[in-house]
Amino acid sequence: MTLVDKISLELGAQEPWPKDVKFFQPHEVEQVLLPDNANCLATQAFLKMCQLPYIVEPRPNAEAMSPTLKVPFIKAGRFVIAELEGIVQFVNGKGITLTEPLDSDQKSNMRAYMSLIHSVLEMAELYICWVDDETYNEVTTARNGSVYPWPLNHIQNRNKRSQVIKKLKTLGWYNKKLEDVYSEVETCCESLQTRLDGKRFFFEHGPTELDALVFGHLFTILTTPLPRSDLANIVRNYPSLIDLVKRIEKEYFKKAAQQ
Amino acid sequence: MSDKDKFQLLVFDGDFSLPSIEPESIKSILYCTVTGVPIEVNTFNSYKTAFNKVPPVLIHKNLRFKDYEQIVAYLKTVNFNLDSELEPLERSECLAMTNLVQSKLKPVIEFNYWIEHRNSNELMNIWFMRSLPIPFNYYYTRHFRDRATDFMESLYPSETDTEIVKEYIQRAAIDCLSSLSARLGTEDYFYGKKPTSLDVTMYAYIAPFLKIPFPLNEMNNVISMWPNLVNLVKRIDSTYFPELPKGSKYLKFEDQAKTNDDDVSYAAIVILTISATTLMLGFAYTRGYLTGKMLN
Repeated sequence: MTLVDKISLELGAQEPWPKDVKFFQPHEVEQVLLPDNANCLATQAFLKMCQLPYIVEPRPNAEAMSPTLKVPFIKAGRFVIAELEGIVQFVNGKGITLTEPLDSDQKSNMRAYMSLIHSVLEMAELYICWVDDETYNEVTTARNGSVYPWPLNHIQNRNKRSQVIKKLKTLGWYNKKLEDVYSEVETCCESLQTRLDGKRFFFEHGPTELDALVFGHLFTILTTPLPRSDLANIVRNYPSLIDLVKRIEKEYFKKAAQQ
Repeated sequence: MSDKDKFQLLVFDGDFSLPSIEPESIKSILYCTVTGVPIEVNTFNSYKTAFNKVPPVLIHKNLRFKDYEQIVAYLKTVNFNLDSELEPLERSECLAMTNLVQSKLKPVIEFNYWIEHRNSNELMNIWFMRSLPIPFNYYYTRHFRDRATDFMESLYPSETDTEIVKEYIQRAAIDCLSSLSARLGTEDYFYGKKPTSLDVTMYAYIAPFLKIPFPLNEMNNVISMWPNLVNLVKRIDSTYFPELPKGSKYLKFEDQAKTNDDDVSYAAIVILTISATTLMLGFAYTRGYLTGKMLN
């Protein structure tokens, strides 16, 4: 982000939330993959928690349209902002925040857990989708390639796979075995459950972006049918996390559907 | 301890009063030192050790563990657990904070080591070229640089301008440091009176900026803004590494050469001028442009 962008973003932030905010994501039914879906859902949950209206716009090439090449992204008036962190910042700039009552120590605690989810759950999801052969052949190739004609689908799949593998290699995940990945996920869920400690949300006063992120990832893991259901089975061992997911779904997604 | 076999730890050599030059090795050494594992540290600077995998490597009873996470996981199974005394909630927070440090400070380390041109060309490259034996020095400097480039590309796939990437990762690092500093407050260590894996990780990513004389070191000034973090590094130094040599091991010669270079440069100029003039005059004389008469 250059300086000019930053200034215009700060100036634009003064404007109220536009009515026609568009939320871009890949097609949910036939295209989107586990990690992308998790991030899209987390961002949607965050916007719903802030009670900000938006219109979902599924696009087959959403990823390529995004300024950071990652989904989801929103278009609010003149601004295009990508990914949960960016959107949270943008929304905070408008004076809407879920973390008002938190002190700086709690905020840094929240950021730490968010980075834990990004660096463990998201990586595990990428690993399952792109490195595990069974899932890759049965699910990932079909879904990721679904929007391209033959033979472009094969080329795109291969490109994307090599990109993801490069990323996992640099972060030290590519050399892990499937069991290692599962044990990392277990540790992560264990630590989240300990942190939640039977409360309604991670912080006493109400939902935050951390809850949104946890919801996005765990809900997606639980509801996405994959040839390997081990990831979902691991998450099912943590009842209080499941309760949190159900609670958020009921409060923010079902209610909206009824209206 | 019933195991008579020694734990052997293979790491990159230390310098500039760091236990090792490379953060992953620093983490492994510090983890072992704090937990009191009876390790024998081998530095990765001779042919004998160079045929192993990329350090850090822990060797124990024919078992090999090739990175910090594996090493820690193994040491936990043989009862060297740094976080065993923490409450469950503290352990959970420690894990989350360690991840935060890892994800925000590792990019800034990799960037300053290998992507920033001056640092990588004038310091890191030379250091690794000197400390490792041929041909491993070529291989590893290349390997590290490629790895760092890949790392930046996978973090910011849409940015090609290194200045912008630098701004992003520095901002992330500053956020992380301020969180850490707020969390640490005036305590000795993050949890109680002993370092935990959070302190270990933090030390490995902050100490290099404070100690290595990078030609371009903006992070040093940034980190100095939080004196409690700097003090934590000093505390760990004085408690666990009191005998690290000061000064540089591999780059000393280069400094001397540089000063000599400045001294001899005048002499070199004089010699060059004289020889060039003689050559020219000689050439002119043999070609007959200058004759004996003219010289008279």
